[in-house]
Formats: sequence, structure tokens, C-alpha cells
Amino acid sequence: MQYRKQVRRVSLLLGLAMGLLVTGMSASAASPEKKWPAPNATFNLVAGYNPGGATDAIVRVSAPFMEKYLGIPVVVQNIPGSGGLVGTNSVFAGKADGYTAIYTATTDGIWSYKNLSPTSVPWQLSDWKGTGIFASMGTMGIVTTKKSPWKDFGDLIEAARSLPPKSITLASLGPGRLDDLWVIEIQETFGVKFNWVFYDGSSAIQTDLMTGDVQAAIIGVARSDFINHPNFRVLAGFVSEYPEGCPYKGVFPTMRDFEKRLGYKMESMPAMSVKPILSYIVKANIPDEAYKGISKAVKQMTEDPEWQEKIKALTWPTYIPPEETQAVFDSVNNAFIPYKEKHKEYVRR
Amino acid sequence: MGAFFAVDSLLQGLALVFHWQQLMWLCIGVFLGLIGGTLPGISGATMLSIMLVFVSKFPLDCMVIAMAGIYAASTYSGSTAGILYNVPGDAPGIPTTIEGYAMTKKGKSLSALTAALSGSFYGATLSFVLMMIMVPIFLYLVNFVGSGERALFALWALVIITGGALTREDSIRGLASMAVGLFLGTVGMQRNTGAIRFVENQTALWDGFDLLWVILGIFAIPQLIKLPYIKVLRQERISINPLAFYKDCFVMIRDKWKLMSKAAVLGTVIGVIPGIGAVTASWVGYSTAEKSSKEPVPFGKGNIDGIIGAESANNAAVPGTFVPLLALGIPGSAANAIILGAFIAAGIYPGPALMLNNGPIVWTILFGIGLSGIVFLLLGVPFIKMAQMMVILPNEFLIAFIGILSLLGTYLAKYSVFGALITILIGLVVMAGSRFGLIASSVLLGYILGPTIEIEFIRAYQIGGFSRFLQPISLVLLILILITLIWGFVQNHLRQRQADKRVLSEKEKIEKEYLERLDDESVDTGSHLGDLVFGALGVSLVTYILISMWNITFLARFWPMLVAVFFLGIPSIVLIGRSFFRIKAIRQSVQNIRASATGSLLSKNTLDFIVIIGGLTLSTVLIDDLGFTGASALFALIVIGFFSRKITRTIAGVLAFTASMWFMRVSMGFSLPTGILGL
Repeated sequence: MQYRKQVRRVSLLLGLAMGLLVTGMSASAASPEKKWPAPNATFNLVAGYNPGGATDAIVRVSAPFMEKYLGIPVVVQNIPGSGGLVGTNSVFAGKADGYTAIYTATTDGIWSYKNLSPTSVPWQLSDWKGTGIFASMGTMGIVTTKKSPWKDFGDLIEAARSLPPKSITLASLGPGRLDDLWVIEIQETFGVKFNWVFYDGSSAIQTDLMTGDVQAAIIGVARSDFINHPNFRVLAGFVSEYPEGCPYKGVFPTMRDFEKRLGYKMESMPAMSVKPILSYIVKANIPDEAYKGISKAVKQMTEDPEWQEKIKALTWPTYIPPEETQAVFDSVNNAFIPYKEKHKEYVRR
Repeated sequence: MGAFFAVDSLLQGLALVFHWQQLMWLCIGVFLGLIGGTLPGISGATMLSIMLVFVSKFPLDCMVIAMAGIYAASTYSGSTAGILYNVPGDAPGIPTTIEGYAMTKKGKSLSALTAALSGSFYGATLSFVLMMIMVPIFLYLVNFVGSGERALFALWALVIITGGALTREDSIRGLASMAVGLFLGTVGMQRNTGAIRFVENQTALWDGFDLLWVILGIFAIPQLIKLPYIKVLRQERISINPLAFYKDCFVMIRDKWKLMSKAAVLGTVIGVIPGIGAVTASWVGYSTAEKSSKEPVPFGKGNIDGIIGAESANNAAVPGTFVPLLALGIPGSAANAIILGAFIAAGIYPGPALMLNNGPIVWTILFGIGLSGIVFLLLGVPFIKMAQMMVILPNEFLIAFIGILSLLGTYLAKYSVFGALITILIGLVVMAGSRFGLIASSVLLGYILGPTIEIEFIRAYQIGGFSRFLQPISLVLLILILITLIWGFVQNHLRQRQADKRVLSEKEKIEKEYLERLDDESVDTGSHLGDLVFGALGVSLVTYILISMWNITFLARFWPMLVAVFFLGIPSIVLIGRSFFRIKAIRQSVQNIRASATGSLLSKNTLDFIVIIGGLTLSTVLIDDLGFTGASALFALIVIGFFSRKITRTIAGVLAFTASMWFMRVSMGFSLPTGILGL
């Protein structure tokens, strides 16, 4: 008897639940197409990393300005995993309604996932569209400790040439980033062989530089604390040159500075000379009205002096309009293609 | 050592901790900890796992201070319900319950509560002072250890924690459970090589199982099923005069400071060693009091020194556990593992670079831990009044509360329904496994420490080959790991041999009785039949791992294969082997199950289970259509409606949950589905 009563109660509750569901479905099916942006909608700005890192910081600096120019609330979503790939896949799996954009960069963006992932990704590059490029400055570089005998990148290469192969342990973030290609390129251009080790965060790299397990490392150096850092020395920034007004200009050597001494041309290193870009991308099939609206907001954000001031602590603002973005995206992808097979071979080894 | 004792860093930390925001979070944490510790069936770990949901929304130092407050206050308040109602909130509260409830029966509950609060405060404060000295020294020392040593330290901690060498756990089940956690940690991308393991076609799992999915799956989901059966009898309330109460506390500290100091130092040392934790500290403190007490009342009959010893020691263990956590990233307990999860979620990695990169935050956290003692002393008295009302709160409200927050956390982790469903699945597997002896906390620690061990091992091998592990510190650690493993096995063998002959001591009997009342996982749920099933499942998992890993590169398959063969394979075979000698007992267990199975499918327990898990699954699946607020309302409706059987209470409960969840979504700016109703 008791059991029957309970079964009746469960059935009643399930009935109520199904009722709610059916009402919900029919209401959503009946609702007319809304105009973009809907006044009660929220715009999601996705960062493929945990809160607290450099990527998260860039997205969080942008969020209030995007909110100001889009006219609807903007929420930062952190969807971390596999160097940003999980977040990208998640956005791809979501609705193409024009309410989501994801941060992408040359070092760890759609191009690296497409070309360097161990297994194929569920989308094509043509499934994404850029909303304009808002920054263009390489933030990575190569560092060692203050105690090291190498004063710059040239010293490091000369030491690697004079020592037996794999005598120097070089750490990089990865695998699956543009950084992988830089290491391959450096080794092939200068005829040296490092003992190459991957790390998943620069904090652990810094620790192992201090303990002596690692002698040099490729990490983000565009940080004010790296100017006269008590423990680390920047051997070279991986850029041709730092922009005028940038605090690192003239402080960190650039890759261009060693051309004569080491006998190479930066242009002969496609991965090293690829244009560094930061952009918010959206799914290619979002409504045209939404695409134009987001692109306009990005443009207005980059023109805002307050945003420019804030973003300078993290990168360097540059604006490239959406109509020119695709060409830049293609050039970035072209830098990856020659190394695709070689990268597989290196990782396998 | 300059960077570690940088005065500006310390001063910044001190200034930060007294900022209103940090103080507010500390009070929130302490308050939640008091609730978690008091409510039977809700542990501090459950409260911590719920707190983890909010980590990404607020500054890390605030969150960790709040979490430290939860941890400290739940350890203290575990004894409050025990003293008043003979139902300890959590396992560390058992020794205090034995003496405290005996005092309550004699009409001396106020003295028992005074002893518990003053002992807890003294223990936490003295341990904080010791921790402030130890953490910077440890952080400085670990600066000299590289990848190889970090891997070996983590492995040693794991073996200590789960191998049962220093605790009373069954080392074979402990190791096998840890291996299940280690296996969970191998799913997804191998960080040194980029190879995808086990889930190549499931891109949402390329990053493995999210920490929040695993933590909530292990702690929150099984809790939902246990809650309907935890009952507290209504009893008369006691009234407290706050001023007189605090005065008594200080008099007690003045009179008993020697016992408190002795117990607190022991508790701190126990806290520093990974895996022993507050439960053992409680009993050690209790035994210390037993040896030195001059009170005329016998132990077990309401001796106040028993309460003081146990409370000083178990509260001192809490700050102690932060030493290996901050220095090496090694969590000594499930609660610490969750706090480590908060660090990782915020992109901050404990270890040598911690003080260098995040000095002020570390000092803020350390000061926050110290202040938590003062805050729970201040909140303690008003809380005792509240606790008397709270323990009789209808359980269906707690089920709805925990279920909804679990849904929120798992959805927010990756903004997907998929993750929330995985959490429910993990919870179901853990619940089923614990019937056969799976130790949930060992699974979590294996899952947390496994990836660190693997990544550091492979990295150390890449840096210096096998010879990297033959450097002096590594070699010492390798020897210590071997000794710990052998000691654990020998102890376990001796325990097994004596198990049938030995009669439980009076203290052990009482502890077992209380743990059964709490439905604690450390009760021996795994019978000989459990050994056989656990062993057989273990061997099946080993076979699956070995087959799946066959075609993957050597570096990517090395660790899963090591886990499969040594940590899971050998213990599983031992479990099967030892159950073979108990065929009679197994037959008896099977007969018992058959006898009870006839009614179990139609039993109330089965229906309760279907309603809770079915309701949560349904709400999860409908979150995109109904919105988070709607899905919460649906779960509240199902649970409160089914368990309360009262229409008014159901309507009031559903309305309250709907309003509070809507308010939380809006006020915290969570990006959650609003559904068709736009709520």
C-alpha cells in the first residue's frame, strides 16, 4: 500500500516535470525570431584558460568595453583545457546565435589546434570568422637565469654549437603551440640540438630554471617584472622589433638583432616571423547583423583611449579591420603548414 | 631566503587580511564550516566542494581564506551536535561526543561546550604560530628540489596516505582505490607528449575529467543519497549567557593550558604528515589527556580533559596540513585536496615558486587561517543556539540545496550539460564501489596527485634519463617509498591475521558504532565478497587499460601501464586471492543478499534513490530549456514534494529555492541558461 502511494507520488512529480518541459518546448518553438542584440540577452566572451593567467587578463580587460559598445551585459566564461582547444570546441558546439566570441592568438589559437593537434578537430578554419584584430605584438621570448654565462640569444646558440647535442635543456610551453615550431626552426636554422622538454605552465618552468634542471626556456616575457628581474634574464624577445613606445623596446634584444652575428634572415624563419595577432573570433554562420555588431564593438573598443591604456600592461594595441583579417589569418596558417609533418615527427620522437 | 621572508610581502599580506572583503569571506567560511560540521551527514569536505563552485567568481585569497575557515570551523563544530545530541557532525568529533554527551546527560552540557570551544581555539591558534614558522622554511627548502624529487615526494605522500602504513585503513583496498583515482587522472591529453588517451573521439574530455566534476561526484552526489536516513531526535534546548560563557572559556584556557599545548603540538605534527589528519589527531589528543588527566571522572563517563585533548589536537591538525600543501602541493586529506583544487582553478601552483610569484596572497592565506580561530571563537556562542535549531532542519531541504549547487558547479566548470551528467555518473560509480570497499577519499587523492606525479616523472626522465632518479635526494625518497610500501603491506598482513581472533577494544567498538551512525565510508563496508568483486573489477580495468594503451607512444603509455600493473593489478589479485580463503563467508554473504534482494527492488530506499538521482538528471538535461532557475525549481519540487508529503512546505520550498537561485544568478553575474521563462 505504502509502495503504491509512493509510486503514485513519483508519477505525479514526473508528470509535472514533463508538463513543464512540454510547456517550455512549445513556448520556445512559438517565440518569433528576435532582433540582435535582444535587450535581455547576455554576450559571452570565452577565454580558453583558467582565471588568473595572461589570456584571462586580456579578456577581462576587454569585457567592460565590449559591454559598453555592444549595449548588453558581457560575461567572461573560462572554459579551460588542452591549451584553449576545449573552449574552442565548446564554442563550436554551441549555438550560432551571435552571442558568443572566443579569444584566439597566433601562439595557441585555431591555427595551432588545426595543424598541431594529435587528432583531427571537429571543425575547419572556414567555420570561424575574425571580428578584427585588436593587438599585434609578440609576447614570447627566451630566458635564462641571472647566474647563466649567456648574456643573450647569440651566446646561447654559440654554446649549443660548441657543446655535444642535447647538452642544454630547453623548456617550452606545449606541445601543440606555435612555440613547438619555434624550437624546431631554431634547431634547424642554427644546426643545434637541444634537450627539449614540454611544460604546461611558466610557473613550473621558472622553478626548474632556478633548480638548474632547465638552462633556457621559451615563455611570455612581455611583463614589466622581467625588466631587471632579480632571477631571470631575457635573451631575446621573439619579435622583429617592439613597437615605438613599448616599454620593452631597447630593453630586450629582438631576433632581428642577431641576424648578422648568427648569419640568418628572420624572413627565412616562417614561424618566427609570423605576424603575432590577438583577435575575438565567432562562428562563421552567425547572423550577419550580429557579426557586424560585434565587429563594430571591437573597433570602438580599440579606439577607446582608456582600453588602450589598460591593454598596454598586457600586450600592444593595434587595429586591423575585419575585411583584412582573413588575409592575416591565412598568412598565420601558412606559417604552420610547412612544419605540420615535421612537428608530428618531432613529437613522436 | 630573502624572497621568502620579504617584509613588504608579509606586510601586504597582513594588510590584505584585515581588509573588509577578506574578513567578510573569513566570516562566511567560518559560518559555512560551522553549519557543515554541525549538520550530521554533511562534512567539511562537502561544504568545501560546494565552495569550489564560486572560486572563479571571486579573488583567490578570499576564496582560500573562506575555505580555510570552513575547514577549521567544521573540525571544531563536528563536536557541537555530538555533545548536544550524541550525533557527531563528522568523524573527528567522535572522542568529544563520547565524553561530551555523557556530560550532557549529567546536565553539564555547557561545561562540555566550553571545553570544546576553548580547546579548539587554543589548538588552532598555537598551531597557526607553528605553521607560520614552518611554511616559509619548507618553501625555502623545496627550492632545492627539481622535477624528479617533486614526483617522488608526491608519490611518497600518496603511498603514505593510501597505503595504510600510518593509518588504520586496509592498505590493499587503499592502494586499489588510489589506482582508480590515478587512472581517472590519465584520461585525456598526456601533457609531456600531447597524446590523447582513452577518449580520442570525445573532444570534450581531451582535458580529462574536470576537477569539479570529480570532487562533486565523489562528495556531493553520494551525500544526497545518505541524507534521507540521518535523523536527530528533538531535545530540549539549552540557553547560554554569552559573557559568562566566554569568561568560562578563558578560565578553562588558564587552567588547562598545559594539556592544550601538549595536544596542540601533537596535532600540528600529525597535520604536517600527509594522510593522517584530524581523525587520528583527535584520538591521539584524547589518549594524551587520558594519560595525564587528574580529573576524578573516569574516561567514557564525561571526563572534561578528554574533550580538551581531542579538540585541541584535531583543530591543531588543520593549520598543520597547509605546510605540505603550500610547500609541495601535496594535500594531506580530502579537504586539502579540494583547497588545492581551488589553487589550480585560479592558476596558482603550490611549490617553490609560490612565495616568489604570489607572496602577498600566501601570507594573506596564512594570516586568514590564524584568524579563523578567533572568528569561530566569536561566532561559536551564537552558533550553538543556531545549531540547536539547525540539526532538526528537514533533510529534503538539504538534499535540494546540495543537489542544486552541484548542478551549478558542474555546469559552470565547462558550461556544458555533459559535465553535469558525468558528475552524476562519477557519484553513482563511487556509491556502487564503496559497497565493495572502494575508498572515495583515496580515489580523489589519486586523481589529484596522479597527473603531477606522471608529468614530473616523465619530465625528470626527459631532463636526465633514469640517472636523474639516482641523485642523493631522489635516492633517499625512493628508499622511503619502498620502506613505506613494505611496512603498509606487513601491517596489513598482520591485521588480517589477527582480524578474526582479535576482540575489538571498548574504544574501537564505540568508534565503530558512531561511524555506522554517520554512515562513514571508513566503516568496513567491503566484506570478503566485496574483496572478490573489487578485485575482479580491478582486473577488468587493468585489462582495458593495457589493451587501450598498446598502440600509444612509450612515454604516453608508461604511467597508465605502471598504474594498471603495480597499483591496480597487484592489489586486485591480492584481493581476489585473500577472498578465496573465505569461501564460506562469501557464500553466506551471497545468501544474505539473495534473501534481502526480494524486497529491495521495491523498497523505499530504491524509490528514494530513483527520485533523487532521477530528479537531478532530469533537471540537468532540461537546464538549457528551463534555465538554471527553472531546473533548480524542478529539482526542489521533486525532492521536497516527494520527501515532505506536505503541499504547503513544498510550495514554500520551491518558491524559496527559485527566488534564491535567481538572485544568485543575477547578483553574481553567472553566465547560466535563462530558458524559456527568461529567469
